[in-house]
Amino acid sequence: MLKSKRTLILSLMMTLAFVLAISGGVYAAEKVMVIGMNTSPIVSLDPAKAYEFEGSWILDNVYDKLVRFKPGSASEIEPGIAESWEFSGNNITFTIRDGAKFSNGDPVDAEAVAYSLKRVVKLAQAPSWVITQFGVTEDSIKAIGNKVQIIMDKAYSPSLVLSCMTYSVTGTVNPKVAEEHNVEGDMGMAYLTENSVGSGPYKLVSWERNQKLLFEVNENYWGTKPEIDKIIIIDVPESSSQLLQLKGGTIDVAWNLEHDQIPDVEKTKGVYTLSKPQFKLIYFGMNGQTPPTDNVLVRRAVKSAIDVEAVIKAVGGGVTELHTFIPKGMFAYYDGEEVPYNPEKAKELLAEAGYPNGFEITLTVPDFLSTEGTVVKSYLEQVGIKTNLEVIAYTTLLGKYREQGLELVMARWGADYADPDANAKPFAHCRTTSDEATIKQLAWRNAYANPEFTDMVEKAAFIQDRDEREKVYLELQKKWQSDGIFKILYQMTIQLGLNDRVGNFILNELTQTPWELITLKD
Amino acid sequence: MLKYVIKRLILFVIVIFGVVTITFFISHVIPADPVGAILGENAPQELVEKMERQLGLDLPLGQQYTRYLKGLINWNFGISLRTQKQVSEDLRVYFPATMELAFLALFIAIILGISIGVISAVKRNQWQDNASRVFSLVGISMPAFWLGLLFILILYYHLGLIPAGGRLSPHISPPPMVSGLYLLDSLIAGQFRTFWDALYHLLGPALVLGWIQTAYICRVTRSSMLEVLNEEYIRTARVKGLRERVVIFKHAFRNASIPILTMIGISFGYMLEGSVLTETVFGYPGLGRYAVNSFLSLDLNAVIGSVTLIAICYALSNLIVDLLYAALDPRIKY
Amino acid sequence: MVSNLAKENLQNWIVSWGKRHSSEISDFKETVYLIKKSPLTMVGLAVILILIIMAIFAPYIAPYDPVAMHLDNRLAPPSKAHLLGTDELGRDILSRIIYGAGVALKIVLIVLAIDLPLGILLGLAAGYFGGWIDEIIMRIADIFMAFPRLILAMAIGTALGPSLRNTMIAIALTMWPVYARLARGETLSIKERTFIEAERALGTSNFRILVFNILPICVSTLIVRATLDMGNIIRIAAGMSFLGLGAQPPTPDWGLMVSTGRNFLINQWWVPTFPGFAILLAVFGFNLLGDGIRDISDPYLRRGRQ
Repeated sequence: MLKSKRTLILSLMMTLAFVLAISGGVYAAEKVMVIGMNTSPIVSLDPAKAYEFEGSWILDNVYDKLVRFKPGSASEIEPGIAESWEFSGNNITFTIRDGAKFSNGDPVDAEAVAYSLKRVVKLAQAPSWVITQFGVTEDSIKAIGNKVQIIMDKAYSPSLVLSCMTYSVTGTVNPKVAEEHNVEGDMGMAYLTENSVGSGPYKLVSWERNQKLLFEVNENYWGTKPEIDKIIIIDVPESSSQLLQLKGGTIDVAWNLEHDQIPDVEKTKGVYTLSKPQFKLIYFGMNGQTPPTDNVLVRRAVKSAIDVEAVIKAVGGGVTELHTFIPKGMFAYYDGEEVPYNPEKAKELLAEAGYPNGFEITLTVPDFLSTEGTVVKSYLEQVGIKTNLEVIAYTTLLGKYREQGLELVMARWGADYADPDANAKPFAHCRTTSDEATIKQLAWRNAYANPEFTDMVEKAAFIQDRDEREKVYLELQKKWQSDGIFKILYQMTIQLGLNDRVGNFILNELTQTPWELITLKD
Repeated sequence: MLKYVIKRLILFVIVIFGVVTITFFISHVIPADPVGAILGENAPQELVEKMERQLGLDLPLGQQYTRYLKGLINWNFGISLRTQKQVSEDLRVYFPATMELAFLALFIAIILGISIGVISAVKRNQWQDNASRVFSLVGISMPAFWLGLLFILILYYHLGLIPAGGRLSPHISPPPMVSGLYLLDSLIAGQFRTFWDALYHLLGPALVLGWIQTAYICRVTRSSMLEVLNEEYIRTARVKGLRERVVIFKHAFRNASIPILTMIGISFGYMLEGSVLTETVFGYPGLGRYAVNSFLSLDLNAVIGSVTLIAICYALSNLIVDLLYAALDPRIKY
Repeated sequence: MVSNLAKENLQNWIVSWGKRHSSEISDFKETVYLIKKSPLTMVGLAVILILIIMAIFAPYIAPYDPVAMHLDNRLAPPSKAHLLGTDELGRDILSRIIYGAGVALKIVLIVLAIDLPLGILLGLAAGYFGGWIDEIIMRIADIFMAFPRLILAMAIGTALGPSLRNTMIAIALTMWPVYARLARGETLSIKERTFIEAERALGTSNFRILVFNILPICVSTLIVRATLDMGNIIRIAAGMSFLGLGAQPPTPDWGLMVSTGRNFLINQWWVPTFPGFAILLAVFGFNLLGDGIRDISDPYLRRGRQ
């Protein structure tokens, strides 16, 4: 009896000692940075397939693109795996840099680059349209010596084309590896989902879903030598847990903090915050076909009824006020507000449109916008519009949305490339609300066809002169605000919390960070 | 007895068939656009339609159902849209994680539940009894998600006694996969550090799940002990002058153990349910959280796979409880 | 005169009623006595009464409108003006909790209002008629019971789309087998008793026997069981709201309040903590009461207590 008791106590003490040893932690001198992030949106880490912010953010550092933005900028292009490029008519020719190698030692040549671009076109996954919108086919991509030539169907504005080439979808994969793992003609897509052989500064070592991703330095990287040996991204879905773990020292970077948590980070010793407005926005849309929002007066009334300042206050501030589809910081941004908050005017307009007592309507919002939805509902009700708020999973919303089945909607939109065209197309381009439409994007999903807007969007994409192009976009934005079906609620801002030992963490408006520049103190 | 076992097994098969059928039809009523969701908000329509054809989502429901049943026989639920992997492969990873958690929680619940329950019965109507009854009622009434939040706030943030979540510390790699149970696999591989780290990460969620089940086991232990303690033979044993301890453990507890055993079986079933909320709060990568994420992203194949697996486990634990009960209880004749 | 006569008649009637129902009356008195004697049951009863009062008189008790936003007073800590603080839209948390009682009770009542009749109907049919009707009903019940409740409720809730109404339907669909089984068991045991056989011999129709002889006995058993389940219903509904599959904002639903308050756990602890505590308290109250009622109605335990 006595003996067993002693054993019990001994084993308990041992347990305690071990637990303490673990929680204390003694590690090798290797530099490791831990990021806490909600990794569940990441579906695949194949550049031809990844289409989420988180996935793109990672891929930018695993695969090389032809060109990229200068660190922190979303407008100035600098060479990537291509050292130079030349436009002539509807062709672009990229010259590939010498001596670059993949993480497994294979050389990166024009063949590999051309293969990767053709692969994107052939696999035709979600982000492929960023390239194919220029009429690019497999045959129009050619490797000639150390050059890659791409032939487009028209002469597009160079800045538009180059912006698109900075997107992670153009990342260069190793053709040998992709073909080795070819399963039923998927060009290695299944393999590359969770493995990498790129030429970027880091390589993906392992990915345990819903747990963590481990990256190590690519010794063969041609650019700046990274300072950090390993980057670990652990899955911490909730911002409150991220904040806890940042303060507790478990993680060095908290990826998605809420604005209400910023004051706490600021007053905590040893951590700091970093925020950057993004080319992403939250919008409110109305159905352009079903009454009563098919009436432009009603639409103006609804827009006048919503106080975007209140929405911004409700989310805790920290986001950027925006009234148009071109985000602040992007070319051709228009800072005017055509239909400002004015509840009296809203009531007048409603009466004029024949709805003096308002009407009843359903507002559908995804779960992550439930606060914004609650606020908008209360403002609509103040002018007599009875609003049924429906908060549903984003996927459910998209399902109904794609079938043009929503009355009022609220959702987010992120520009895929840093050109006004990236947002003008979805928000304003729709020639017909029938199934024959060429771009079935936001305007189409809300069943709103406006030929005038559509003409302007199409025209602007080809104008080579910068000032003239800007003029068209400015005019479009004014009309779009007053007559259209959308009201922008705000421009999103990314808010990070970082440990003091992390330095030079650069972010641009497209959520891009060169990992090789990040510094880490011991 | 044999007749009962056979009857019970047939019922089990019928139930499983019903479960998979209901799961299939419920998940196909879900008004979702899983394909569009996976392809992203910016994806063009043609691509969405192409993928739907690839996945057979454009077939009539009956055809999809037979396809599903055929797949099920080979334990094949198709590909998860969210993880791009075979659902069965995902389940192979997440299921052991939940089992590990459930067993540890059950272990805690059995030890605490039985000891508190016995004390409570023996000290009936004294303060120990009242305290334990309140303790167990609070446990039964506790919303698991809220308890988890409080644990994280107090035990992790303020006291630093448990980790904030996850299954292993960021710098520790999982042990080579044998069973999928980190505790077991790390011991097999001789990685003791990984073993302790895994155990340390199980503490929080296991305590939350365990407390709630402790409450149930405690309640049953108390009432069945009370029942037995009133029996004639216990009084006889006492009159015979046996030591109280011997009476309680040798005579009373042994006879009270059948309902307790039953409750333990039922508790195991409840764990599967509790794991949904607990794993969500602790960010623990188990079957429960996989199920929730599948629901929220309307990943139909994953929804069907995880719900089917959970329901089969639940039905299986009920089956075992029933059979055990029949085998152990001499009063039941079939 | 007339009034005196009426009085006398009434008195006579009361006395005779008392005589006729003497066993019920003493039973009732004993029950009240037993409830009084069990302090935990009294506590449970008190909690439930408070809940009911909160639910009915919310507009008079609550200091503020539960959905009115005050964006200049977001996340204010507990103070004299806001005893439990305010949430992320500046709404008074105490007022929301008070209104939330109504939401919680509504869920319980509607779920039971669906399940008790449904369970009784199916259980009576299964037990009384037996044969293939029994077989089909009970196998369907078995299948529904093979799902953990929260999982099945989640699945149904997702399929129907998240809303308070659908949460109630989903929970009701997961709970009916319990009542159907109970009602069937009761029916089977009553069916064998001599007085039913006598009725049948007299040629009373099946319908009459079911409604006048079996139903009343079933109802009391099921109600006892229902009190035990009330806490559970609240807990499952809260779990669903927490996961985002239940009530919709701005409904003052406790589970939803904990869910949205989660992000404020560290810096504004009051936002998720108080609604969670309200869930705990309500479920605790129902469980205490349910336990007490079960003890009292269980003839074995009743004897054991005396």
